[in-house]
Amino acid sequence: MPETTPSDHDLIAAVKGGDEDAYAQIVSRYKNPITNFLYRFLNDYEEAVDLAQETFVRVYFALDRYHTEYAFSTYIYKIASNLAISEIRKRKRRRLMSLTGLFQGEDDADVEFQPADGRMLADEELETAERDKLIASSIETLPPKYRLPVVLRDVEGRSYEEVAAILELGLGTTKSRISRGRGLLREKLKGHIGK
Amino acid sequence: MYGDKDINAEMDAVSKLHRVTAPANFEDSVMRAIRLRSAEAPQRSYAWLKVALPTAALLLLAAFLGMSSLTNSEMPRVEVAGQDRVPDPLATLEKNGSTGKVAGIQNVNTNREKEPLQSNSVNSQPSKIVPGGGTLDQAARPGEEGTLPKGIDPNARSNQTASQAGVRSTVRVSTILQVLGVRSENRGGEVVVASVVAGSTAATAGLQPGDVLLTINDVSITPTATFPGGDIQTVRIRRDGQTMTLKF
Repeated sequence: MPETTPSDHDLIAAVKGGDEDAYAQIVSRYKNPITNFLYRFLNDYEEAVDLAQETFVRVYFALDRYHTEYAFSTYIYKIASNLAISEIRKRKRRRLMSLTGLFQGEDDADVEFQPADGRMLADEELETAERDKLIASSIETLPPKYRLPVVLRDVEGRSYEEVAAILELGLGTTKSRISRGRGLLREKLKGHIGK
Repeated sequence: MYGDKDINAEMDAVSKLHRVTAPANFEDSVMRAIRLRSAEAPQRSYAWLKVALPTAALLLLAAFLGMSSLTNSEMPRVEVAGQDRVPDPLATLEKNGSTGKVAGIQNVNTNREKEPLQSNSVNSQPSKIVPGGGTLDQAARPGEEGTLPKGIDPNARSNQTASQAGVRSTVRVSTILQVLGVRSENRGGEVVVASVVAGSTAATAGLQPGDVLLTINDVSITPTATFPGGDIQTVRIRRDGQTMTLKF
């Protein structure tokens, strides 16, 4: 008899019944997408891992408030998005407090779009790495209101409806923001990608 | 209107970005953090403060009000027309020795009509403030010492009566007792002698600490009672359960 994989809702019901292993399965199921989503939004791997862990901890303690009529993936992305937005605000405050960079350390260096130099890369792998770096930097310069839907849609591959639900926006607004974000991103990448 | 039509080479590259993965010990870290916070959660619960703080505030308020009503330690207030401040009568007694008379009280309250008032407009003009160390008689006769504001005749007679001038005809019991040389306290609604100034009128009459004061000149004494004025002749007290009358 083939073993069926339990659904998210089955696992959550088990967690609510006190089964810790069921939650470990949930973590295992979503740890990579959430970490990748946060990494592409923040462009900082360590920060992304920390926030991903915090996301799972918060979800665990808020499971009583989760209603199963919504997809669990939507719920967890929503929590992760809120944490990511909070982190961006914290960074902004830190930047403001640094008095226009007078006391700014190297770690807090302002993130500006740096186009790649035009030199030919010898190795294809290195070229891919450089391109990824360029795209990541470009995404990071997008305003958060466009960055979040673009990352969810184009990096994470979430549907428009799901992005709208995660961001608690209307479908039209969501599509509009994704389109605007893509436009901004294209402007930044024009001439560097697809040559 | 919007859709994936705006996907092109740039966005295609975005969608093909290298995907990062969580570190190997990710699940363990999450579950450890959850257990840690679960253990801390009961300690960090401050829900009890929602009840405790208002209760503590109410208890403090009740204690304050209870103490206020028990002590009843008002400063003596003898109001004289135009007189803003009067020296502490007990301090005066202790300083000058007991005069054995409380006629000043009568003067304060009833002789205002006979005494020359300070000006024709008693209520509007301030009189001399008697500094500490004077007697009630002195306090009742403004104009005998010191100076008055320019243009005010100290001997000018008022055509107002005392009541028209706003003079009160009663004195608080606590004030009378202080003049007699008694420090009193409120014990459950009864006025009890706390101490007697040696050599004072009260000491001469035989008042002792612990005596419960019942009447003065047949006027019942309560902590908030007022006395109609006049010479004090008899004081009824209760001592060791027995009622007796002291003559002054």
